[in-house]
Amino acid sequence: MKAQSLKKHGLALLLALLAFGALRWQSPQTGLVRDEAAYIESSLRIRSWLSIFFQDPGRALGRVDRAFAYNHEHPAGIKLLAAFTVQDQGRDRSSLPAQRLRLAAQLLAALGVYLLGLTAMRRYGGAIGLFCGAAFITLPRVFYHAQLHCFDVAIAVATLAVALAFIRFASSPHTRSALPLGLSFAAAVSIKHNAWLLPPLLLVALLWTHYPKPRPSKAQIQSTLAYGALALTLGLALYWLCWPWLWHTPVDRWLEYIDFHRDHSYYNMQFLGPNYNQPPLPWSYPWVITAVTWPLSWICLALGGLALSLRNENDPQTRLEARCDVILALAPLVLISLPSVPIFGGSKHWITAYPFLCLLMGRALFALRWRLAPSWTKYTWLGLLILWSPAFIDTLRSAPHQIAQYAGWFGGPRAAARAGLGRAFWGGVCVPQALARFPKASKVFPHDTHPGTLSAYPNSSPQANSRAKADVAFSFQEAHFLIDEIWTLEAGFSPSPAWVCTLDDVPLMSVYKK
Amino acid sequence: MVLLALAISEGLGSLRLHWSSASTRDFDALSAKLGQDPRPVLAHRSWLAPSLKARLPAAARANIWAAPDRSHWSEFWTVGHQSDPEHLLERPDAQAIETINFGALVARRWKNPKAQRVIASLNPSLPAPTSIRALQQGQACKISSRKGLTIRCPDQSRMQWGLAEINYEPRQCLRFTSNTLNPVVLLLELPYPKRGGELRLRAGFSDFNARLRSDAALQLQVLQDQEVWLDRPISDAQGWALWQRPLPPSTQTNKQLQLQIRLQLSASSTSPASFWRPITPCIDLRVLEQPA
Repeated sequence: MKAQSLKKHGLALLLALLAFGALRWQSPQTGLVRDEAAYIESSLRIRSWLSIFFQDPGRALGRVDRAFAYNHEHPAGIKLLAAFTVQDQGRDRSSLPAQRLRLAAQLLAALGVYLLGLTAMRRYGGAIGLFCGAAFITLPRVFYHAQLHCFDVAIAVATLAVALAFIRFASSPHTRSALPLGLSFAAAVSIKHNAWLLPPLLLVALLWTHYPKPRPSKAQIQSTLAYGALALTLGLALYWLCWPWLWHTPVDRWLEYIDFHRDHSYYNMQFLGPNYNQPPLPWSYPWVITAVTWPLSWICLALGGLALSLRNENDPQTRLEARCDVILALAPLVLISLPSVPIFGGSKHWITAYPFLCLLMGRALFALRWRLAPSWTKYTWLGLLILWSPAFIDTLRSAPHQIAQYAGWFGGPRAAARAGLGRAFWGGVCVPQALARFPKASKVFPHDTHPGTLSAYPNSSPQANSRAKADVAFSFQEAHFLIDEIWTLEAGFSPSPAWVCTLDDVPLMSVYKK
Repeated sequence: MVLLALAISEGLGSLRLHWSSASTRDFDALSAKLGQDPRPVLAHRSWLAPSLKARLPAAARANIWAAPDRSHWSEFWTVGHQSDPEHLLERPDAQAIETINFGALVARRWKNPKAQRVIASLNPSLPAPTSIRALQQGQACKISSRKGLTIRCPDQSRMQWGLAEINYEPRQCLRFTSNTLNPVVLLLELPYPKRGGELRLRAGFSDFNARLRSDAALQLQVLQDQEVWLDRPISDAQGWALWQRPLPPSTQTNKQLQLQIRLQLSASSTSPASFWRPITPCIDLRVLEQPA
């Protein structure tokens, strides 16, 4: 039994290491996205603060606001973690250690592969477990976001960790199970605000598990409430501790933080033709985008798993697992569908659903496997390899532009362009490739690329603040940027682009020269 | 088994998409064939246009960069992708006369037997109107044609020929920018097509934010020879709206067409509380004559 468990850990670890290696391998080719640039700056400021903190904690306390005010709309979690991977470079921004700062998020993504693989292996066996872990990271959009010094895949992993800790806690409420729950909740809320929805969602999952029966005893309810409060208190205390911005005026600043996300500014999202930058975004947006970026066979499996999860299992533990999977797979998509929700952006905003959709796929595969004739079970590995292949092929062939990839069944990026769906956003795509093509002496107008990030690339060029002063101008191919392309032409650039970065012939970025 | 078959077909489909991408050789072959061709070359889909413009300078010429009005082209090429069957469908306005495959790309030559000659247009690269005047509240606006047609009015309202983004397509048109609600009246004298033809007027808005707000942002009134032809609010939801007016043949010599176009922004579009840039209506006008 122990050997079996070790084998599962070993396999999950191997898968996680492979995923980490793949992320590190592609990362230098993946451009820095706009928000990532802000997180890099924040991490560097935090790193400087840490240097002071380790030398003179008293002085550091007086400099908390200076270090943590920048980008305080996001908690310090990942930024703090990443700060430990680099050296203090003071105010020097002539060279950004972007690849080192990405390390923390990439490790967390690999941890997610490990957790997901191990959980699915325990539930559904080794082969299906490996499939689930591999499926998650080889989804093109997940693979893309997992490389970045951002919060999106990290919060998906933390959500999974909280759910797993909660399932363990609910079956045996005790200090030993409350501590991992509190720790994982602290980690999740320290990464991104999505995690604040977890307590109510998990509570709904628990109530649904016990509806209409088995009714928990009074003692069970009391211990769940008491140890649940312990976990919550621990989580909140650690959250406060890990985010020095809240040290001085925690309530006011926390409320300001929540308000920021409630009244979030709207991004431009193209969906089936029109560009939306004011709510309501059509409610179908997250569902359609998920459908056209996932392999169809996987969608069928996830829907099958969803149907199976609605059955009333006799075992309360299995039932709670199923209820958690269903709620956490659907809630992020439902939330983004609400007309009142700000237009936050693309699939990364409901990516927290994806580990649970993978677990639902695992449930369907497990049920299908039992229906196979015994002579066929020896081909399970081959079958899973075939099932895994569509996303793997898509991720591999679209590297490093997985952000713009659409599933093969839908017709890929060309079909998406015909249908009027977005391509890439955040001004990061194709930047390393573009810089490598033009001489360093060229002054580059970076368009949507975050100002100041060109220095993060080995082939960086000097940056021009306006098109008039530039020799080379980037132009990202997004519906709302056509007017920018017109301005580029009006600034005297040749109407014939010097280079067009494409995926499946669909332009993602044009580079114009004077 | 069904799922496995589906996964296999999805995997093969993805690989097929990869292999069916246009190669440098495809573009080189296309460029060798169409690079020197005097006929206009257009991308069948706007998403293919940047790649085409990069490889085929003819496709990047100013009058083609902006999705043009093709009504006066007797022949033109379109370039599409092999994966796009719609490119090969018949068009109501043109007949396909030649199709050449260049690997993943397909070039198609089209003939428009009903193509008409442009005898007057606001576009500086086409024949100009006989005269243009502009008035604002009875005062004359200054007109210059040094860098394309530019009209400056007393309240700083401005009209300028140039590129605009309309309905997610680049267009060449006369952009009207104003921070006031004062109307501007364009008085045009245009040659009349003796063999008969048509008057084509287009209007749209060059601001995607305004389109989402769905303002009825422009009051457009057009008088032809003192007779009201159009008088309506133009909504941004109408995209690149087109109005056509047939002009019957005339035996009169030196007959001129008198046109009065009155443009006025609606109140909401210049609201000071608006976060967005003021919207920019844009118009295009041309007089076409039947071929001999």
